Amino acid sequence: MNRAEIIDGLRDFIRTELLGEPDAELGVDEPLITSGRIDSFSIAQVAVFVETAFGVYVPDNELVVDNADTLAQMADLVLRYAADDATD
Amino acid sequence: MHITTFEFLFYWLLVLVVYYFLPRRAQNVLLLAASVLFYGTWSWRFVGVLAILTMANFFWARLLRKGQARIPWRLWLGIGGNVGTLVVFKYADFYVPELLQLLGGGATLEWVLKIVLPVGLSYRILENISYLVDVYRGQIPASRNLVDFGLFSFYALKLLSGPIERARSFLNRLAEPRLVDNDVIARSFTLLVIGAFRKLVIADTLAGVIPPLMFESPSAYGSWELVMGLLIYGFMLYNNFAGYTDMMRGLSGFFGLPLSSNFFCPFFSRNMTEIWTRWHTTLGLWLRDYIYLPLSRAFLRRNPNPRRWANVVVPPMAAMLVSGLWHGLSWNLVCWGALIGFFLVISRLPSLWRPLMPPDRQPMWRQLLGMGAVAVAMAFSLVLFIMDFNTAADFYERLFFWTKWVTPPPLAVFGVALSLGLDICQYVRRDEVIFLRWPRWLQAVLLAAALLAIFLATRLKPAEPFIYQGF
Repeated sequence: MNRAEIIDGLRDFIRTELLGEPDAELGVDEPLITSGRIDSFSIAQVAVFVETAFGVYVPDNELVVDNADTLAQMADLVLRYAADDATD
Repeated sequence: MHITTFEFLFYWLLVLVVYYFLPRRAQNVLLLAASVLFYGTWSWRFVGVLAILTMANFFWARLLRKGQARIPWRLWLGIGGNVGTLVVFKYADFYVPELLQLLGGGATLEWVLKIVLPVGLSYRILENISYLVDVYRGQIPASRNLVDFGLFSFYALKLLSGPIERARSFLNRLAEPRLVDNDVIARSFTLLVIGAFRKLVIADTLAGVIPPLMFESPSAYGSWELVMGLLIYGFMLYNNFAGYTDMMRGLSGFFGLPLSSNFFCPFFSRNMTEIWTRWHTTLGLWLRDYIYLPLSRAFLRRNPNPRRWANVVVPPMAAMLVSGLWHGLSWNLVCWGALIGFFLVISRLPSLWRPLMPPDRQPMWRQLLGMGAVAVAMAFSLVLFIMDFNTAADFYERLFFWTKWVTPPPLAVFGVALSLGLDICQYVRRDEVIFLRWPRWLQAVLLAAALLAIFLATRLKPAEPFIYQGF
């Protein structure tokens, strides 16, 4: 599991399940929370998707604008907690 | 020592002067001592209660993990201990009379009646719970510095009514060198003046025009008067609480300890979710992180269908019921929480069938409609927030007995216009200290006008209490 794979997985999930536009353009640095494209409930869906697809638990209080507003930030968060899980 | 007094200002100015001469570690000790002394001016009993609570959480957090292993029952016991403390003190009004009646009263139980809610305890409980959960999850290590943890607990500028800070960021700030440069000073001073203006000029003016008995005997008023009274109360509550928060954030900035923002133009919220990012933000975030998201995730794990009723209804309802109970143990507050939860569920429904349309991309008419709908929903629920259940029922009933239009008092129009004007300035550039970007001459004129208004407002009548201190 590398960063590009995580970004691709998240992008597919968000486009298909949350935005309902499988072919929509979604850049890695495009804001999702601050732009209002995803809300708190969608964030919970993303978090559960990350658990099932990548086997990584990201704590709820990390899922905020500062850490998880874009695909790139979300991927970094997943990688950080994947590394934490590995050291536990 | 009350916040809107010169004693308060001089006290913290004195502390600030000494603070700048001390090394960082000693600065934390000074702030802790100053905060304890300040809290002691309210009641030394409060200090005792909070000290015990602080020590208990400090030591308990260190027992939550054994190496890398988590010990769940210890976390639940820690949370239970904090909630229990809140129940004992905050809900004494509710259970003590019942208890006395049950046990036949008598002098032996008189001491129970002396239980008084320590000011700010509700806020401390939420901070303690988030601290224990974060330590348990391994996001932060348990603090080993009793002075820093004591300051997290007692810090006077957030103790009375928030903002609700997270140990994770606050303890880190305490461990870092303080940066107080010209930009920080300008920003902090601006926040302080805006806060004092909101509280002493806008909120206190609005408080003066609400008929004193309107929310006790609504049947004596016509529907328009009640609608206006409710709107004025909404603006008063906002400026009262936001003013307090800005003052504390401004003052704390001078100590190099920025506090979280708690309000940002809530009346411009375009949906029910957005308002919780603009009104009492730190409470909204706490509820989201420790109630709403864990529940949503738990339900989604069991059944990932986002349209399943339990996934849609239970998490927001649970979060808002907790919010209602946190504000107080009464049926009207439980119903207030349930009503807000209901509004959140309703506002969520359209997005189950079509993707969310970002508010910024909506046409202006739809944004304005959304703002109006949110304002009506919040005003409607506010009735349950400020009145007991029977009075609220009377209030709602009177609302539908249409009476002729009544012209609002000029002072109310003036106060609401000032509040909206201030918000518009901040909202347009999404900057709470937008005034710092304005020309110097204009800043000088505004500052002089604001200080004069604050001076006159405090001379004309004594300052009203901070409403949220009651929680």
